[in-house]
Amino acid sequence: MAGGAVELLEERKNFYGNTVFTISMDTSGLVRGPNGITVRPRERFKVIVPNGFPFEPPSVVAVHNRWAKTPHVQWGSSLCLYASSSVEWNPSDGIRGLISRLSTWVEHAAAGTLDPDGQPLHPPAVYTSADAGIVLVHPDLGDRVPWASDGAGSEIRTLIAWCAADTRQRRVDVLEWVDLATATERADAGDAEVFVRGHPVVAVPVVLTPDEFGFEYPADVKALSQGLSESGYDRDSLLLDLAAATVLNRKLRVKQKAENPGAAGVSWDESELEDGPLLTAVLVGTPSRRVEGETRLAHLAAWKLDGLSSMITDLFARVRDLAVADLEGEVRDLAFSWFDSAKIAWMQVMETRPEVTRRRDQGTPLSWLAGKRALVLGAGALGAPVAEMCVRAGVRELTVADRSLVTPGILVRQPYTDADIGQWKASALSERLSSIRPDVTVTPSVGNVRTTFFAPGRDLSAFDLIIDATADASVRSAIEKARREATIRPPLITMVIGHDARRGLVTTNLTSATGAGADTFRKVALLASSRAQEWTDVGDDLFPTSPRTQLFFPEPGCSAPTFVGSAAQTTALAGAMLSEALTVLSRRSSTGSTADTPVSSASAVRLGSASSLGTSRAEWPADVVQVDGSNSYEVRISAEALAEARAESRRGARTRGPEIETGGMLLGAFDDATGIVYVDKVAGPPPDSYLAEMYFQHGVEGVQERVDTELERTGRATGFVGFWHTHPAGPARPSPTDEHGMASVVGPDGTTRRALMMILGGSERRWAGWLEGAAGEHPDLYLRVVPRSAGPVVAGHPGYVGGTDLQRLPAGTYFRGGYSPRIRVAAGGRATHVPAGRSRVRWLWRWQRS
Amino acid sequence: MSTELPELGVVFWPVGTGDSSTVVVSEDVLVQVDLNDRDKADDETTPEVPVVDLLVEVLPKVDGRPFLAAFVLTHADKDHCSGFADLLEKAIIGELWATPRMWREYRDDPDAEMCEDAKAFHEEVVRRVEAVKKAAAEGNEIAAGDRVLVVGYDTDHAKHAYHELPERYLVYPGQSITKINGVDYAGRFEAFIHAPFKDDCAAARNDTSLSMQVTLTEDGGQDGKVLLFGDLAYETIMKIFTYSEEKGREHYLEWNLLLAPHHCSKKIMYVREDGRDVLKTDVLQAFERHARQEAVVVASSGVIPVSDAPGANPPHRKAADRYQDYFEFICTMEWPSKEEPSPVVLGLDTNGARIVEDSVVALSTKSAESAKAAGTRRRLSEVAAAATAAGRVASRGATLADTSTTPGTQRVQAAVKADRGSQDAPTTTVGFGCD
Repeated sequence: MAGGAVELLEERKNFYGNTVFTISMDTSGLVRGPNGITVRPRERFKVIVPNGFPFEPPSVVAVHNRWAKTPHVQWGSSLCLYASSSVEWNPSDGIRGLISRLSTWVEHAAAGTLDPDGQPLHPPAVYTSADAGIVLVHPDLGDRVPWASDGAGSEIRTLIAWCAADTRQRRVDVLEWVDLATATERADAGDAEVFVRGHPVVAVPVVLTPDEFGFEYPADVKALSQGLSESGYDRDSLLLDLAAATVLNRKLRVKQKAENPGAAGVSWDESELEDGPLLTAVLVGTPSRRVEGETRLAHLAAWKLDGLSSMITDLFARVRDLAVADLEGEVRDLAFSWFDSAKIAWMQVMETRPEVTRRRDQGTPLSWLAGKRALVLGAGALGAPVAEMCVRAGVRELTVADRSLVTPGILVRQPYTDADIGQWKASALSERLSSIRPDVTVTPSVGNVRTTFFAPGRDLSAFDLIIDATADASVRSAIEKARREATIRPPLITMVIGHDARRGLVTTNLTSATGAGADTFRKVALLASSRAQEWTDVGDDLFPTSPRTQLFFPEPGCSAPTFVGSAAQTTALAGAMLSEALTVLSRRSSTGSTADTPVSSASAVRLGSASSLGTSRAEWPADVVQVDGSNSYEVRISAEALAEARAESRRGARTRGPEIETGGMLLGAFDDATGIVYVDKVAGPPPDSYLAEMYFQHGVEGVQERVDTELERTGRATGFVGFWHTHPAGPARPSPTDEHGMASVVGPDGTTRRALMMILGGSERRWAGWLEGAAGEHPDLYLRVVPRSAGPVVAGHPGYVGGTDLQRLPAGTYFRGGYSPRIRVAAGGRATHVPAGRSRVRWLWRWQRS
Repeated sequence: MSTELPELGVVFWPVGTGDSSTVVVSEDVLVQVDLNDRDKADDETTPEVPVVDLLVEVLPKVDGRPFLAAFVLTHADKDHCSGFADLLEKAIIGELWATPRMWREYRDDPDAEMCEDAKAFHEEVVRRVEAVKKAAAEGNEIAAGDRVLVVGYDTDHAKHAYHELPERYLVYPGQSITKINGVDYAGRFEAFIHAPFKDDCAAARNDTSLSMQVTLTEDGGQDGKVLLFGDLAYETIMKIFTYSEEKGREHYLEWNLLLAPHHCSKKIMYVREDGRDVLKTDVLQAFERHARQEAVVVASSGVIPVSDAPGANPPHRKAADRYQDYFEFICTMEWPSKEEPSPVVLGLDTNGARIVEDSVVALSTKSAESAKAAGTRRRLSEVAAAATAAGRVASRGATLADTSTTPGTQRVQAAVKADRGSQDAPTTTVGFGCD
């Protein structure tokens, strides 16, 4: 083909029925780099084309061993052309792509620029059976390896891999690396622990050699021992180390059978010897190229000896035990002759050593969870997948709390099984999640989450993260209240999904956030009601102005109403919400904070027809939070409300003079369940107000309209909660006049049964600083919820204001609320400007400078 | 590394497509296998290379005349014997090795077309056969310059004059020659004769080439082996391998250097079947089986073309590629560069046989001059120097334009791309219509 650039030399079928093509390729004129392989002007390759071609990629081996021990050449001559054939192999391009890739490989290999990563994890040939089993390697080898960090060294080191073997699953877990002395001590100890997690313990010899696998993939003991002797580990040593391990394993086996014959299991091989070892295998470690950074870490390969060679090592071990010198020599010779003909089988090594593995989720938002202790509330359509994601992401401890049973109906979308029906969800889920990762502690909590976790005084410091996936408003409220009082506030994620499982709303509250889910949901509702374009659909879905009348009852009788949605939807939303929340959390955890830094956030994720809107995210800085003067409410003044008050104060100072008081209505809500007063907005003075240095009389013109508008706009979430006024550069504390004014609002003839009084003041510097907008500055605040008195208002009652009628406007010069010029009011002057026919509700604040 | 060439070795002259190899057995014993003096070049593009003059210059002197111990002709093609008449005139040739072939050709067709040098060779051989017979009959010593060996079978032996030669002047395939010009060099020189086979005696001339394995052994016991197949092709070569392997004579198949048969012809590994060249890897594998460590294939040919034109004479790109698939490969006119070819020298010293680096050859040829002036002889260096001079002339005017400088990987990628097909739109207009 193409003037000899590539030539087909031979074609034949191999043992496995695959076609092997020998090709020759023009590799002339290549520049050899410092670490490059030596390439001749032409090179021959064997291309092994599997029967599944083109859907399975061919493999390529060189016809010689000249490139052994160089990167991407495995087992002496196998070339590693594709790092990930599932991505890089293009069936449509077939052999052309392979040739092109091979040519590029040679070019890069000659230049020495092949990515040095990559290691021989698999045998090059197709292996027909996985009977030999698998080896999971958990602990790091670290500095147990006999080579320097650059791979240099000549010493051979042997160790014992302390393993647990599951003969039924054909699985060996390496639990620990120990030296022979330690292993012997353990096997001899009277109270030896011979089972780990119900599986018998077995000792497997480990050979660590600084030489790389330059030899052909071994299929029998002879080839393996020859390969190892090239590295300085001779056949004698191999047999001796195998025998030493066999001695240990015989001892362990006797104890295992005595202690628990059932759990001891049957021997790995059919040919069971009386009290013979459970398994005879050897692990070989060499410096691997797959490293991050410079350090060369051990690559491990495992071979299981067949039944015959197991018997030989066993026999040899017994003879050695008897310490008959002559016999040993004979047995040794016999052992070697059998040994050489014995087959070995490759055990698939599955690495979980942290030093050589990289988490598939590294760098993703969920990696924040690694090592954390999480509490997931609710184990339903949201909570169950979320809990599973937490386990997979590497949480250290997980508590799943739920109070319901697995019922048949939920199997449609919740990850439970038929066998789980009738069990507590929390228990069934914990059990399943524990089986994903035996190293994680998953604790079920059955019952009411409010009383279990959010009772007063309950310490939540045992958790690094709380995820509320109950979608239950009561739980949200309970958390809101508990968090209000808590001294330690773990980050909180709260998630709900819409009525038709097309939208999910997730909020995140950082440790520094005072508010919890209920608070942030309220903010989302307000944002949605403000007709913020991105959030309108969220408001319609999750915060409808009128309750949905068609609730979905899945089962007959008085079952809990729920929503319609598939497992695909709920799981997708759960994943999207968790990922979104952790994005916020991981980002915020790593950045510094100021007063303006958002501490709460909300994201809406969407599916199906809603998905074109994508994901919306809103964030809020911390509210200004202060416990009110009556000590019964926590007042949360939104940043927006405080900004509005500042804007009005600045406008007043500019148009009326810096010493003139101003004020207006506070718009927000009382939440009696949680004991929180939300101040979402403030209004300015109505046009018919009188404003002076020492008085502020709030007018009435347009006031109700303003409140009505707000109520309607927010779905009655925000209404009148009280009044605010300023004491420019004066102390933030009420004068008697102020007290009287408030009392009249909540008095029997007033309009409301309680009202919040907010006074903004502060030293000149502080006041000026706030007005000028200095970062992080806010004025001194006086806050008090003034309740209506049930009985007579007497001294000592919060509503007591004394008996003086102060509803008269003092004589003086006043500004009005609007932009009208200053007017004079005569002493004892009547409020002639007040429109007739209206209730003469007037308030008067008086500030006497002291 | 030594800048001196060893005493023992073989020089392959870079003289275009044609064989000219000099075996240096000792300071005074040189054996020339084939000759390609282009002095009488009839081809305009081929420069004239005075190989004979250069060779004669470095031959040892016996009684004041240049002396060549033996001349071996593998077969009577022009590119193997040109310049012989000239050489015979200018030097004393102790012994001639000839195959029975030419008698057959003359007998079959007295007017057979034969080049002048071939005729001169045959006439000389015929003369010597008579001289030897006469000396033998009279019980006399054979005079200097009269010796001859007839190598190979012919079924019609009895019909030819040489039939009456004493048996020791007749050598057959399967036998070894250790004597040169009547002197035994056993333990230093051995030529094992593989061919011509009896069965091939009537085949085309190329197929009757003399084929042998030349073994040189230095005093320490290290040896170097060169396989020479003349212009044999696939079938005969396979026959040689099969035959010697069956006879358990693998050591006569071993090689450090294989002179690519027939100047790197593809007929060594490709056989014409149904109008197609079919690759026979068994011959390559046979070469590989018997190759020693770091074995090298040397093609005594002009620069290998980028591709093979149909029906073109050797060298063939396809053959060079196949050798390169398996072995180190050197083309005499490309080594170390096409512009300045240097002779390929297989040197033999206590470290064994190896191709002497071109830089060493260059230094050595210089030192040969001064050695000569100082009265010390370094024959191999001198021969190498002569061959260097020949190469310098031979490469002059060689057209290098047709040679490739594109790295192989680029060629491969280009080939893959071409095979995938272009995605470009046609660059010319295309008309459609209804006539």
